[in-house]
Amino acid sequence: MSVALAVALLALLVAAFTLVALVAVYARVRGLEAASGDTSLSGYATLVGRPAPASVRPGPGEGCSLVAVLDGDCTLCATVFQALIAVNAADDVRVVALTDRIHDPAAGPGTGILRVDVAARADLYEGYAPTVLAVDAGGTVVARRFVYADTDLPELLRELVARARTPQNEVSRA
Amino acid sequence: MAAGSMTQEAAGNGGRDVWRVAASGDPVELTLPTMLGDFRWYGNTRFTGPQLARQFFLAPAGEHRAIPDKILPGGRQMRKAMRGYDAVVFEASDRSDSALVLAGPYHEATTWFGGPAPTAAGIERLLRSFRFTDSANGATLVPASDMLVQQPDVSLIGRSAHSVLVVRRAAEMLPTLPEWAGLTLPGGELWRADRVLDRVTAGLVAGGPHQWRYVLAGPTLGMDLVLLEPESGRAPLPVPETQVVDALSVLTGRWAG
Repeated sequence: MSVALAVALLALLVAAFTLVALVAVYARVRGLEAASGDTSLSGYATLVGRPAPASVRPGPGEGCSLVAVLDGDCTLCATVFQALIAVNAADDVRVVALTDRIHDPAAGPGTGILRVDVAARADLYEGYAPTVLAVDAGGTVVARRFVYADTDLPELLRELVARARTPQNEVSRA
Repeated sequence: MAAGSMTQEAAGNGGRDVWRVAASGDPVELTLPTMLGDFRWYGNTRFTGPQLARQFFLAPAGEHRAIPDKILPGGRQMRKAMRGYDAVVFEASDRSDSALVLAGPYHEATTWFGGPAPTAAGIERLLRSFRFTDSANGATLVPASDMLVQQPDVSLIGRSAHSVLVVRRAAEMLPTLPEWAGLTLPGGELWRADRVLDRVTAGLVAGGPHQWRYVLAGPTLGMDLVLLEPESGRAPLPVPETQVVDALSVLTGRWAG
């Protein structure tokens, strides 16, 4: 075997290896591209459209549930809590208020709906309280609203109950 | 929300400490003269990368309600709930303009498309390429991957009844600074610059502290201050320019990161 032939064979080997490596890298990149289509890069899955924790789903005979995520020490949360008590008395809606702590366990009526469930609250907390979520009969979160000081609370709760009773996409007016 | 910024009176020197988060996620500490009043904080940021060139305006929550009411009345709206914020698309009824608003509980970020809104898949792709995190001290909007997408031109904009203050990173401020030395203040170097005004309003502000823009460059950030008064129908500040410069000596800040 001549030297020239040996060099040519070696060059062929290197070229073949380069080709294989390029194809492998290309396949890997295409795979990653396809995978990034359905995983959220932010690391936090969207709450709306996802099943709610079992502890806040509507029970048998209840059409839907309203879940409020509250803080123990904000005045606006107390207002939301009072509005929820009114809904609880009027409808066949399951009402749950998740808070991080209760200052006075014997405070007022309606404390049956107030609950300290750290796991469920952490699951539903989106960085702001008070927030109200609507859960449909199947146990899926269908809407989420942030509550501000100027929010029309009875109207908001009515809208959320209506939305949970007639499941549809979150395509609507603001 | 009213509790938009953590503020506290600094000890006795007529300043007020403010701590904000810029759109890039960098913490910014500022000491502002109380003379300038209470600020509402806005912001601006830009993204450039392959198949991406987009500008976002940040504002306190709720300002996007002007879009369906005033800017694109009778248009189409599409709302999608994301973790921690809502993505709302507004489109004019004749599809001549559209906007995407990332509406968080405290702040919002708006971008305009200048044409028909992208398809649902296009919006989805756009949302996936950014990460929006809201907090009481400022919203963060960064690319999901910073290997391809760059984020130049990040600015914090404070607006009060009397002034507009634009805060930028020192590195981005540098090309716009004059060649000559400015007045040395505790917070950095101060220059006066011309304002862009038409002849009538220029006549209104001539000779007073409102005739100039004030540019302050510190070691980590640069600030650009405009005192709003006669040109926008308000009464002028009853102080001479020297006193304004005295007040500005309180103005300092630090852009971390």
